[in-house]
Amino acid sequence: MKFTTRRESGGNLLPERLLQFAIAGDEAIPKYLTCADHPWLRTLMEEYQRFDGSRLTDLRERLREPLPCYAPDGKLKLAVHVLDRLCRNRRPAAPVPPKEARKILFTEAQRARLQSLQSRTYDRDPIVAAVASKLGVSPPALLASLFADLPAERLVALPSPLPDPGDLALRANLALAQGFLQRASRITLELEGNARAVVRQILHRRLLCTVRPRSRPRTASLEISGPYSLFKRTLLYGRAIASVVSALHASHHFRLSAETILRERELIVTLRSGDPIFPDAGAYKQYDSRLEERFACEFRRAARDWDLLREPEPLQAGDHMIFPDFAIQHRRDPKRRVLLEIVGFWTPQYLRRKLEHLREAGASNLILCIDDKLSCADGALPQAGPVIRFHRRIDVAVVLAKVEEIQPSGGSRR
Amino acid sequence: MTVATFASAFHHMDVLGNRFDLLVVDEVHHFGNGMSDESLELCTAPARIGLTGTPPGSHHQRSRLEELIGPEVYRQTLSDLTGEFLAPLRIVTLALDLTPDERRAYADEVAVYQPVCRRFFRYTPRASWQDFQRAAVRTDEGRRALAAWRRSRRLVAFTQAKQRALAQLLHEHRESRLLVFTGDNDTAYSVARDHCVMPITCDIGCQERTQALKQFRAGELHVLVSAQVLNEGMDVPEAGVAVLVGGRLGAREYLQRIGRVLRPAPGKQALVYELVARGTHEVHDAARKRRELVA
Repeated sequence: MKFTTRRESGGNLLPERLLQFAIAGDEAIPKYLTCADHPWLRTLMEEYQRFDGSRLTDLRERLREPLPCYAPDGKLKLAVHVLDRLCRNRRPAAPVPPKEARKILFTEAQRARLQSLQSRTYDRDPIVAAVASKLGVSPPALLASLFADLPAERLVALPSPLPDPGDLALRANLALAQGFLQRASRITLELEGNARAVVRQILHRRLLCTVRPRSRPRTASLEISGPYSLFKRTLLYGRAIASVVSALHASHHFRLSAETILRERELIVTLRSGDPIFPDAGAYKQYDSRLEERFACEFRRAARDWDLLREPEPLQAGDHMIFPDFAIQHRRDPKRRVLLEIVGFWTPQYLRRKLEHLREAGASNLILCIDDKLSCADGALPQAGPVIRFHRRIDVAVVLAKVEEIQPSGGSRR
Repeated sequence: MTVATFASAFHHMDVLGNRFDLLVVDEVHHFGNGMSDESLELCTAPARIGLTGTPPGSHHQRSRLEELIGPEVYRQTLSDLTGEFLAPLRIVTLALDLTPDERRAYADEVAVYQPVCRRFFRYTPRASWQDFQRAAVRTDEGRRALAAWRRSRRLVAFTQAKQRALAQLLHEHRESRLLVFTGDNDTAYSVARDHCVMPITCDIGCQERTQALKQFRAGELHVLVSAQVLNEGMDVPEAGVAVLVGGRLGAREYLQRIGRVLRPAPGKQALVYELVARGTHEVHDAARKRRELVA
């Protein structure tokens, strides 16, 4: 799973004026950037390229004027906001620390100005030259250093490689989706397939989340408290919740419904699978670890009658959810289905509790694979339950034997 | 007694607002426009006093201030205070010519924005400049007009004649403590570079600004240049001469800038130079500001 950086996960809160949406009843329909917007996005990026290395204030000034082609105003501002966040603007080179340059030059100049009371002449250039030689630089270098640390002097530095218009549109859409979530009071999320990556992100960011009863089989239903439901509207929480959007890409199907407060109205925003909001579509990593990848590869090679499904549906055990890593399902007899979870660090107590949860969930078909090296405490392993111990590598033959033991059938062929 | 900035009052008034009997609000003109009125609403103090040197002009803000603080009970004009509480003031307006190139460039920009402006105000005669800006940003033509308007302002903000006049004034008053006010930070940095004087802008760190003001008071620096920061809140009583280089100012900012040099001292005569580009909007603006100052 790829965790997003602060910059990618919404960095600063997208101002409400930049949120592009239409209102239909009590719903806010996001206005995403589509391929129809690519021509003006290309022109906008060309403008940025023209100002690469120039002063940021000059670029700002240029962008106050319209582009040479038609660009919808709201979407244009959104794209500019996203491009700005992608740019890593840098300070101009300063041979002398600017603060030091200012302090010395201006004090010396004042001294010279007072001396000119007698001489009646005051010339700036000799003062600059004298201070520059004192600091061991040339006069132009001294003048260049003078305000090099100020925001007005920052230079545009475009990201490399520059995103193409399609990518920029997706990034803008992602920022838009995150902007809605950052103004949510309650978020309901239904996930189907690979829900674990999303749940893990929710837990990782320590969001307030509860499991809801499933509306359909093989789905996970969650409810997350939005920043606007908290007593204090923290930016940190808003940023954490924004990062969930990027994680949704891992899920095969999802439907996110957010109760938001936009333009002082309570509106519902819905994000669904297929919405153009995932710029890093290719960057999703299928396996969590080399161990999982190796096991999947070896299993598929060794067990031709069995399908190995990654990230199957989660199991609900009371108010807990268990996310198996794999489902092993017979190709011709799908009722023969076993779930497999590779346990990370463990203690006997932890395993005992886990097996209890499984019993509560009525999941008798789950195999736990535990690595001997990741044991964190001594003690007897629980005897009950299908547990496979391994060292470095999960033996596919042992797993298959355990599967046959749990789901026996005379007709199955290896 | 509790002293708080507007920001901390805004943050804590919901908890502390019921603890006071008297509320004194300095620079009260910052309230009444919706931005931080909540902090006054959350305070239950029955007695309230608001102080300002620049009462708000808009009817809406004044009536809102009446609700939040109370009616106006005392007023004194600049001329009433001059002598005893404020130093006598002399304002010198220097009308300066544009160079032929500057005049041509200015006329070109005016030709772009003026027709759009005129058309807008012909159809909506009661609209304000803010209304025009809101309407203009919605169309390409409007945005082009606004950009031309900004360029025209920048063009006359620090013309060649103004640069020469400023150099001369700095030389003439090299013994006095002098404040230079510009329209924007870019011009402030240009002045700072050209004349080796310390700029005081929002970009300069707080520590460095404080240090510069300390040096100014101690006489180690005689000149400071600023766009907005020195307008309000900074106490620089040593300053006796101000040069207003440019900038689109409202009556309040104009008065605040002048107010920086009005702190009285024995034998002090506050002197304000206003540099105006002849044949541009600045002539009209300067006359309007003078009228408002007298009023």
